[in-house]
Amino acid sequence: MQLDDVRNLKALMLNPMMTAVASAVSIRSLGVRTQRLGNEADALRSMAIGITKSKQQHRLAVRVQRRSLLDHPMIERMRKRSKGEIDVRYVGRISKRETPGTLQKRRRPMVIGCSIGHFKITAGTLGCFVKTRSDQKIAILSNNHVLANENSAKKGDVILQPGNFDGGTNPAAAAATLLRFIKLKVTTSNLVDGAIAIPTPGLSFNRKKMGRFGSLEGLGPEFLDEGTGVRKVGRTTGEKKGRVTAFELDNVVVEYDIGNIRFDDQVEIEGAGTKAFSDGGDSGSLIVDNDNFGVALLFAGGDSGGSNGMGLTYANPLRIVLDALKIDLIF
Amino acid sequence: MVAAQTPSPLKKARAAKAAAEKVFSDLLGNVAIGITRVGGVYGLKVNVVSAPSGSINMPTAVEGVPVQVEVTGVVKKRIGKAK
Repeated sequence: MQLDDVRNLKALMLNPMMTAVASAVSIRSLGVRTQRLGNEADALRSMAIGITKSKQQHRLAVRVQRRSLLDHPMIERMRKRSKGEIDVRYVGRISKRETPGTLQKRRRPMVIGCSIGHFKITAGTLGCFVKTRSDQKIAILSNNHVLANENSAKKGDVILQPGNFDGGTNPAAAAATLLRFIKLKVTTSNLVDGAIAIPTPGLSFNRKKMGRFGSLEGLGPEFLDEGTGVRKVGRTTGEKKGRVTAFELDNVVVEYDIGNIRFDDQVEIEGAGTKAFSDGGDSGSLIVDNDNFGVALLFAGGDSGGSNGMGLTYANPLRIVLDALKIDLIF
Repeated sequence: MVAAQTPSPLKKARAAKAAAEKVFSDLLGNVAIGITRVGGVYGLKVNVVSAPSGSINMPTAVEGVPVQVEVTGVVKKRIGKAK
C-alpha cells in the first residue's frame, strides 16, 4: 500500500477499534505508545495501531497485549479493509527498559539487575531474591566476589546499593548485610561463586521485575541444552539476550585477585546478534531462559570467542547454586 | 539374546570428556572441555586460551565424538572495572 493510503486507513480504524476493544477487555495495565482519543476518558492500551514497512510496501501494524485479541472481530475487519496488507502481532505486556543508566543508580525498591557490592569492591549485580531453607529469611543472591570480596568478608559486613563504583557510600547506600558465602578454593575445583546478603529491614525490593523481559517466573529445568535462548539484566550491559553454546564445561580457569580458580560443570553463553552477553560489572546477574525461568548465575567472561567474536560468558547452573547456599528462589 | 544398547549421543559425548581432556591437554596445555553440538550432533567443545601453533595436528574426534576447538582468551571474573 502507499503510505498515504495506510495513514488514511489507520485514522479510519482507530476510533472503532478502541471502542470495540474497550468492550472486550478490562484494563489491567498500561502499555506504551498508544495515543489518547478525543472523546475517550482514558486511552486504552491493550491494542496499538501504526504503520510498518517491508520490501518498499507500507502496511497497517497492529500490536495486541492480550492473545485473546488476536481473534477479535475488529482485527478481521481491519484485515478486510486493508486487503490483507496488515501485520498483527502479540507483544504481551510492555515494561520499561532497564539500562546501565537506570541500573547503576540508587534503586528503591531494589530490582533484579541493579548495581550492588560489598563496601570494599567496585560493583557487581544483584542477581535475585531468595529465601533461606532453614529459617525462611529473605536474602539477595549474587557472587562471592561481589558480596564477600573473594572470601575476605565477614558475616554482617555492609553491602552497598549502588555499589561503591557507582557512587554508593556507607552508610547512605547500605542496603544489606552479608549472611554467608561459598568459599572460593584456589587449590581444588569449584562449582559455585555465590553468596547471600540480608536486605536492611524495611527496605523495599521487587522480586519479580526483569525490565522489559517481564517477570521472573520460577526455577528452570536442570538440563540446559546447547542452543537454549537465555537473557539477563545486569549492572553494566543492562538487558541482554544470548544462547547457550556449551554445558557441563569442566576446567574453566578464571582470573581472580586471589589467584586462578578452576570451575567444573559450568554453562557457556554467547551474546545474540553482534553484542556481548556480559561485561565487567555484570557478575551476579541471574540468567533466565526465554520463558523467564532462572537457570544460571553469571560470574565470569572473556573478550574472545563466540560466533560473533564478542566473547563468551560463564555461569554456574542455578540449581547447584541454590543447593550449595541452601536457599530457594522467590518470585 | 538382548542386543547391547547403543549409548545416546549425549552419553557418548559425556563418556569421551576424560579422554579428550587427556589428548588435548597433552597437546595444548590447560584446556576447558564441555559439551556442545558439532555438525548437529552432540560433541565436545575444547576451549583454549590462545591460538595453538599451526604445526599441531589437532584431532577432530575423540572416541568417535566430534570435537570443536575454540580460542576463548583469558577468562576473568565480571566485576566492575576500576577507573
